[in-house]
Amino acid sequence: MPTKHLINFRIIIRVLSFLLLVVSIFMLSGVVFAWYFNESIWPLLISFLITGATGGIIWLFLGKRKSKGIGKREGYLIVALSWIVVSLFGSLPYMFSNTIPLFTNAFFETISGFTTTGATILTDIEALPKSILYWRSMTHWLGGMGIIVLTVAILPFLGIGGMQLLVAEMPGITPDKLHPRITATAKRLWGIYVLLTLTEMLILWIGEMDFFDAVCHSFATMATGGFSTKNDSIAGFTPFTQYVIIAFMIFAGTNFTLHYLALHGKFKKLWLNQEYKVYLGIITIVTILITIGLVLNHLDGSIETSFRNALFTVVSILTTTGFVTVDYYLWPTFLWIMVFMLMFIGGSAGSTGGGIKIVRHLLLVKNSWIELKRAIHPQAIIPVKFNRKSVPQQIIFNVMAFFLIYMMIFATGVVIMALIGMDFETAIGSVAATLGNIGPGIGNVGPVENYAFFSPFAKWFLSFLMLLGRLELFTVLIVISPAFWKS
Amino acid sequence: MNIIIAGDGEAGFYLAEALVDSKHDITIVDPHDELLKMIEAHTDLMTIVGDSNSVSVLKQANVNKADLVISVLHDETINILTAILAKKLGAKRAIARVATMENISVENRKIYEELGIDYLISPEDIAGHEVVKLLEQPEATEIFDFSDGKLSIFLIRIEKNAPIIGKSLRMIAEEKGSLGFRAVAIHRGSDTFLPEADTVFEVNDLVYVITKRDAKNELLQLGGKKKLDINNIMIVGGGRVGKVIARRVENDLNVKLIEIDRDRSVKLTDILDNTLIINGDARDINLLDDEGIENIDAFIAVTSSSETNILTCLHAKKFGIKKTIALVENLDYIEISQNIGIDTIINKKLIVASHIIKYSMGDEVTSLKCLSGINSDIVELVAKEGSPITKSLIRDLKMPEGVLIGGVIRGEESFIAVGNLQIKADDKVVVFALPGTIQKVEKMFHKSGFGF
Repeated sequence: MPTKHLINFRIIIRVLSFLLLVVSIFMLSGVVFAWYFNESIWPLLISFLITGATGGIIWLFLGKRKSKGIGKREGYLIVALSWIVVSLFGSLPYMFSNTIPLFTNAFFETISGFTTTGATILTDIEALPKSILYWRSMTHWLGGMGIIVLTVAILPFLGIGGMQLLVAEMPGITPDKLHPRITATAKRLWGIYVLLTLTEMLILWIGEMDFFDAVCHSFATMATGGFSTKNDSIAGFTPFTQYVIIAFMIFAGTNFTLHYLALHGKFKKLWLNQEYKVYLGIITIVTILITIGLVLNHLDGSIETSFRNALFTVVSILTTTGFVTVDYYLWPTFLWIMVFMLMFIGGSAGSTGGGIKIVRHLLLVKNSWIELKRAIHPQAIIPVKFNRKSVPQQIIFNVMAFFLIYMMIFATGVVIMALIGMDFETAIGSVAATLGNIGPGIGNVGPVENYAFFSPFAKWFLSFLMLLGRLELFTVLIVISPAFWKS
Repeated sequence: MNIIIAGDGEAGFYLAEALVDSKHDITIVDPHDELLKMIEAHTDLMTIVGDSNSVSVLKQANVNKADLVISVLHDETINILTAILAKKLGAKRAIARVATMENISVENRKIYEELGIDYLISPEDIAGHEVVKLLEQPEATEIFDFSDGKLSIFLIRIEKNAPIIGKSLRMIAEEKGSLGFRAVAIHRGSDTFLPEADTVFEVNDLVYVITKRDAKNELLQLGGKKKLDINNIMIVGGGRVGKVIARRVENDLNVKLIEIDRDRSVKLTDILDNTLIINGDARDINLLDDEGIENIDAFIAVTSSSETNILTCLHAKKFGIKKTIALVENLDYIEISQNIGIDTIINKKLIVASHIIKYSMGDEVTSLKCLSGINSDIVELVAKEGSPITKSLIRDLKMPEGVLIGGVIRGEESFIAVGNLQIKADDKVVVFALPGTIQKVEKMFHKSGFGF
């Protein structure tokens, strides 16, 4: 072996160990709830100790030495591994508390939390200790804005390498910089995230929810996660609470750069953003269609209820949150098919939402439209324009590749699920809902069902899909591609 | 500090990279999309594609919050406009790169100050001056003066016959007693390191030395340098740099200038009265032969092509010319060029950086020089009253690693730093700093001594 290694594993392990330290602190925060609700504090405390000690010891051994920066390879590997490592340790509280004793199930629940999918294997959520439910929501919240983004925000030594990591973790095509320094950018993103979460928490708390539910639900909303503390998700809450959650789901599915601009009073920029307009447009149009459909079919009682259920479902699925107020699978096929289609659209780039993302669809549609023009004027130079700027062909190719790979993975996933005995609707529902980080799908994984009945193999497979979806395919695929390991 | 750099290619990027290392927030504005993508991939800064002389682009770069706006495009009109606009839009300070010397004359500078431009820099002009200085002291590879030459930094290459070869600093000190100079860094192969008492000098070492004015001759003698007399020089390239050099020395020396472009050659004759302008290609050996290259004492290649400059200098070396100076724009070529025997490399990017970086630092930094090829800096700083640097003898100071105090200027006097010297308030201290250490050096000169 030559002395020069292809990949600098030292820096990877170093970042991962730091990550564990961060996550362990958040585990510790759950002990407060355990103590307050008179539950056993041990599951979270022991998990905290194991996670913290593992991270701390490795950090101590490898931390001090100055090492080279993070290259492209290290960046991708760090991001891919960190989500797996964090999910491994994150499943400890479930196992120690004996709420989810099986490792496969605990891992599924944790990665579903971190990837903000919100697919659960629990049948009776309310039976769980509150402190464990708190940790369940916390996994959402950490995964929403991204554990790597958080690490970049607080780890000064990453420097330029931070950009590598952000590119690999942030949803969207290229992350916008809010500040010349990458650390400062990450801090601002988390700042906005925390601010919005606290605001929602406060409003929900002022409303009908108690403090605990307000915390958990705002975590799940802002991360576009979908874990609730109730068996019937949001259905049991008052219209006020539902509207508040709708509003914050919309916020969570918006590009955080736009929040930043809005906070700085630059509202004009919001209306210049085409993705934002399309995002709101989709919500409006599909909601109206479904509302009309519900009213005409005399479902769901009053017009207000129909409208609220329609809006909630559309926003919840489009932003890939996965909260539920109504079983849309009971609606006429025409209506739930529309909801199912939304699963393939996803939130905005730079938001906490998952899926393919609106901007990608927008670019693909624009490019296809322009292809027609190009056919008539072969000599003309007609670029795809987005937000009044022409988009480099390179990015169009990237988006096309993404879309194609997404669809191929979806198709392969459906075949695999069918192979292990799932019916058609369950197969496409479970794959679409996990790959898009949504949670509820159709068929046996519909809005009021759960993922408990799947075989261990199916659970591991779906866990893999969740990770693929959260890291937007490329990061994971690059790491498992042979080219990555060849010099 | 929030710094906006307007550039069109390498000069801006080099500056950005140099400044980002010292913890500044950099936004770079450049019309080239592809180049920006490349720099963004490996540097922690924000990039904006666009023209810096557009108000909306400047606003996008948050110019109202900028502490410093630096415009270093090749086109001086854009630079001047950028600086004026930036200042009007709320930037605290603005620096513009200009092409011609006349803008920098004292009476003209006022006009620009009134317009809001705080500092003008002409790299071509400075490059010319550096060459002229080297012609006066041709034995050195690089020279930079601090406080009008009370202390200078000399870069010398140790010759085969140098008396110090095989000797360590300690041995030399014992032999000579107190010296008027001090080696602050050695560049050997591709390594740069600070010399310690036991470091032994080798042939072809490039040694950075801080020296007092009256000790220069002894220094050159120790380095094995023979006195060179420069009478006949040949300049290749009649661009801005070549013009500046010829103009400065044509009355004292015998100057031949080779310019490839006919029209430009003719124009040069209007400006240069005592220079022989030759219209031709310097890569043509016959031409050099015809023009009597074997009688030339110094060969200066300053065309716009680094490759031409390096190759013609190598050629000149073959004819036995003692002093060769090449303008090299590609930073990666500098070390190679030095290794293959070209005496001095002039680089405009480093010149720009040398003169601008100090504006991004505290007011204790009075002068700064980026050293070619080794990525390090020599800084002159004023010791503030009560700063850590004045607290004890140099011997007892806890200096950061990679930093060496070279000398001290006190009023009209100058001293070489020795262990028992005490730095006092208002002293100017010349410090050598390896990459990434300047920030720590600055701290030593601040009033509050946090962390020490």
